Formats: sequence, structure tokens, C-alpha cells
Amino acid sequence: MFEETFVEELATRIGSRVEIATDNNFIEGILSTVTEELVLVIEVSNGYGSSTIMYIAVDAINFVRFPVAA
Amino acid sequence: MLKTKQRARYNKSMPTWVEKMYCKTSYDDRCDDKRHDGCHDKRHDRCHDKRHDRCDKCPQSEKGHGPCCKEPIQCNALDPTNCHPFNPNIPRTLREVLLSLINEQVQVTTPFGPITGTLLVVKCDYIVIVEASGAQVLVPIDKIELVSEL
Repeated sequence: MFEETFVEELATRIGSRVEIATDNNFIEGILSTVTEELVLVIEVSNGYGSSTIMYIAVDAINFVRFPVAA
Repeated sequence: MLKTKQRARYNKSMPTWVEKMYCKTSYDDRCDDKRHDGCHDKRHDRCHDKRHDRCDKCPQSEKGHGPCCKEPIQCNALDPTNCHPFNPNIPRTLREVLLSLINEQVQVTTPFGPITGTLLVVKCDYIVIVEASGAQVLVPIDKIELVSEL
């Protein structure tokens, strides 16, 4: 059901809405790309299509939450 | 870990019952069944069947060892305090604590803050918690500072 490693599991969830916490940041967005060292999240800031691309080091991630779709 | 001199001294004076408690064979060699029955039944098999096998599958093993391999290799250690705990009921790693709490209500604390919910699975380097809202939370074991059962 779940992959053996953290990165492998994240890779199976590309396209999901995520909340990612690091020591000092909390990022909400769409999980876009996962590599061994980096996670790319597209943070949608408003309803007009503008978005921010955030690169997060895998080693810095405290947790990744996958909220239940409303 | 014991130094070579200490290790030699230790081996010489080691009583038989202690000798039986841990496996002196190399990691890939199977124990002599007659001498190390206890070893085979419990820790040696656990080591081979789970941790060692899993490490081979772990993609990070290319860098040396995957996160699951960082735990001490219990079967090969000469120091019984690092090798086979005299009281197997006491968990020795955070991962062992987490494994004993599967399907329980837990709170794990990371530097960012606490996460509360039901511990669903413990994998090689992360755990999955299901919160009251139904949200799944993946937490790398490396980032867990504190675990408490609720």
C-alpha cells in the first residue's frame, strides 16, 4: 500500500494537494515533482491563476500532509 | 563498540550462556543452528529477513546504506550491550517504539510542531499518521523529536 521510502511514497502522490512543513515554513500547494533531494510544489496564491514555484529540500521536510478533499 | 584488546578479553571470559545470546558469525553467514538456536529464532532472522533484505531494495543503499540500515547490526556486534539487549522488551530505537504503537493514538513532535492521530504504518524512513480529519500525514522518522501515546 505504501512505498518503502519517503521519497518513493511522495512520488506516487504527484498532483495531490499538499501541506508541507519545514522547521520554519509551511507551504500549501500542488505536489508537482519529486526527486531524491528536492520536492517541487506549485503554490497557488489566488484564484486568478498566479502561482509560485517552491523548491523544498527533502531533508528539510518535517512532515507532508495530504488533506482530505472538500 | 569494544576495542580489540577489550574484545579479546571479553571473548575469553565470556560465559556460555552469553555466547548463545548473540551471533558471532559474519553478517551473511548463517549461524550454526545447534549453537545459536536463540539467535536464529529471534534477532538473527529478524535482521536477515527484514532489515538486510529491505536495505537491498532501498534506492539509497547506493550511497552506502539506506536510512533503514543506520540501526546497529545487532547480529555482528561483539558487545552484548549493543548486540542483543538482555531485556528484549525495552525498545532500543525510535523506530522500534513506533512499531510498537501501530494502530494507536499517538502524538509525534517535529521541530515545526506536533502531529496527532492514529499511527497507520512505519516504513523504512517515514511513518504515516491519519489525523482526525482523515488527512494522511507522512513524517520522516529523522525529523521526529518526541513520540507519545495518547
